[in-house]
Amino acid sequence: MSPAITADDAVPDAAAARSVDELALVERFRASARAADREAAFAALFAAYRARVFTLCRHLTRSAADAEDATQETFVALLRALPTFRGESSLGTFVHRIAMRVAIRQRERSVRHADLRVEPPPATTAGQADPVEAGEDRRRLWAALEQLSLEHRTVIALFAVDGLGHKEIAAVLGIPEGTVWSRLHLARKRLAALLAA
Amino acid sequence: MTPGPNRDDCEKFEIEIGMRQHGALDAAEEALLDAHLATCDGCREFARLSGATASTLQADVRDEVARIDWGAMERGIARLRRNYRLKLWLAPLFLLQVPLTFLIATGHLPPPDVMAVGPVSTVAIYVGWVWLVNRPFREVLAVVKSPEDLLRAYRRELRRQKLRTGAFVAVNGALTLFSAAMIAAVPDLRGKLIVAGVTAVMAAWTAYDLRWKLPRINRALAALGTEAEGSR
Repeated sequence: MSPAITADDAVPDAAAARSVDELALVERFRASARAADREAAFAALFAAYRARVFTLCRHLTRSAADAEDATQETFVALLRALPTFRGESSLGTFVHRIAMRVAIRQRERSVRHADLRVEPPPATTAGQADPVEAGEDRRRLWAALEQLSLEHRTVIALFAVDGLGHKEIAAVLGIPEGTVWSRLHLARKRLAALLAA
Repeated sequence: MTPGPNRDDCEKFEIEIGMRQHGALDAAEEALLDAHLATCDGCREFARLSGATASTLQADVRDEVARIDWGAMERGIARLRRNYRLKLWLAPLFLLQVPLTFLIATGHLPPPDVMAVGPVSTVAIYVGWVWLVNRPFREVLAVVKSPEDLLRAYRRELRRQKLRTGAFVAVNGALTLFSAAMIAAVPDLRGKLIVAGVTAVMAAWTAYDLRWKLPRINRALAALGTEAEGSR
């Protein structure tokens, strides 16, 4: 398997350029007196982060519908939080921390409503030797993921988001980089044990 | 005979397998890892499983992302924002509740002494309502304001909730018992009915906290895991 190198690691300048644009958008959102300008700036931020926020929420919640709700709530909370953003962390860290907290609450809510069934994403079995077996493996994988503790699941979820580097993951979780690697290792060990059981 | 791989080394290399998958190893470290993988079946299997798991999870959600109707999601965000604004706009109506209720019930505005009591209660209700509407945002925004361990902050928040709910159950339970005992002491039927009604509401509230709220907090604490406790 080819290593999943993130976009930020591969092209460091891309991350820097993106953060400059994002800061300009945040400034435009905060400074503009016209509602239309603020909405345009917010729409650009939504377009930049929607896929990554959804991916993170999808790995932390139980279904696509829950993930969509959590994604919407994340952006509403982001609107409330943007005036307090001081640029101490990257905007990405800021957005993903909000998304994680919202997704955890959404997950709590779905447990409260006794909707304990995990809904894996629809199978993409085209081109696979045995689609039935592949589908069963995927169901087992998602069920095993569901059994992980939240701290293990969050680190696996963050590493599954395209374009998130390990430094940013450490910042999102608020833990040192070394702890990120050891937590990822323990999570994968646990997942492997669950799959082997 | 060639000695088998050392388990301590395997632990270190297993961590490095994850680091390599995410591009965090330099060439020398990769070479050492490759040399270890060439001799260790367990680590090779761990690398294969880790890689397959990560790529399956990424690919599954990538397909789902490609199918999302982002326009519908933007409309959903707009709807949530409208609902939030509407809830905030409902709050000022509370400020008019005493004079309006009095006007509807009696056909004229309340006397000055009632008008004096009214603002205090209405402002209290107003503040409570805005606090309630903003509560979900406060929970979320608390975590982005501080750079600390997000899960540790969440654990602390859950423990505070548990403590608050436990204290509330104890106080509310005691008051419910006291209120139930008071029913017999009230002389007239109307008074008895009012006290019984208040007792029933308090009992229902206590039962809700005991039956649903505390177990939910305990479940969330148990699902969190134990490592965040000691991580630095």
